[in-house]
Amino acid sequence: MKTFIMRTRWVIGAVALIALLVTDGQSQNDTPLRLNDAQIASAAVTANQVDVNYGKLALKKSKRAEVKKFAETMIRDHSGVIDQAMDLAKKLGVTPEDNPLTQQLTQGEEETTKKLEGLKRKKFDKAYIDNEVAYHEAVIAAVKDILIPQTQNEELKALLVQVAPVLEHHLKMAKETQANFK
Amino acid sequence: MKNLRLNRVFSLILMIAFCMACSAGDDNLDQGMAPDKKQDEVEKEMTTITIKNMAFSPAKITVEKGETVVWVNEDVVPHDVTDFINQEWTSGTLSTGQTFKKVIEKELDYFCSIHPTMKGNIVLKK
Repeated sequence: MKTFIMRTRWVIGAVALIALLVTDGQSQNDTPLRLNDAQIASAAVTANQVDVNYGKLALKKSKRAEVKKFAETMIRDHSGVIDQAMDLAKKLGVTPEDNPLTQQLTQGEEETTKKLEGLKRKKFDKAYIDNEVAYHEAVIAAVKDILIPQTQNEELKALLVQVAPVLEHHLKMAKETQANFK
Repeated sequence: MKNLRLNRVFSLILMIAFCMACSAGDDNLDQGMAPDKKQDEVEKEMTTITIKNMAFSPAKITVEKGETVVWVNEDVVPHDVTDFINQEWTSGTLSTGQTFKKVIEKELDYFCSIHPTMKGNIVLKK
């Protein structure tokens, strides 16, 4: 029962994130969230950094080899994307700009990290992987439905288009790992 | 006499520096290059596999025995090229833009050990 409640929480969290991605999260009339390229760059870097941070927490708390390997891959891949996004932003003269999406991602990270830090090792492993599945599903939706269509600069758009299959691959890896917990 | 010794030591240092400079030109992660062939001959026999969008492309190729295959990482994340059966050989981590070369002497099944669902296969022409 507890497992069901915990899993439900991750799913609700992911749904809330997706809901925020399609609205500005503040207005009453669900106005679609509009972002400029500087804000999209900020959201992309933050979304990757959040998963790097979850991965670092997993390396610290987990003893399970497959969880640690997954976390290492997340850290390596998302750090690589951050480097490329920052290099591109520098080349384009774009300064990543804070926005409601970036703020929500950071707030979500704080809440999730607090929950994960409070869990014992075995429960942590499952909760971390459940969160990775939900988080990647939410971010894939955001990248495909919001960030790519709204990006004006072609190079930034091309980078986001290339990131999408990476996220889908991560989701597949997370689901495969998740299946081993059943 | 002392000057002669100093000259010899200086000449030796210059020769070593020259040899190091000659060998440091290629920053690719090469492996198993045929030593007797000229560069243009080697390039003619080179087949390129692109790593992009989390896949090896083409995933399956057919080459002559002794042909060189070069993998180029054009993806946004690091990858590697590793022997699938026993992990007997690996490119090590290839960051974006890095390449790995290997002379193909036998049929190979390989994968990316970082992203294990990425697989490729090389067969020899009969």
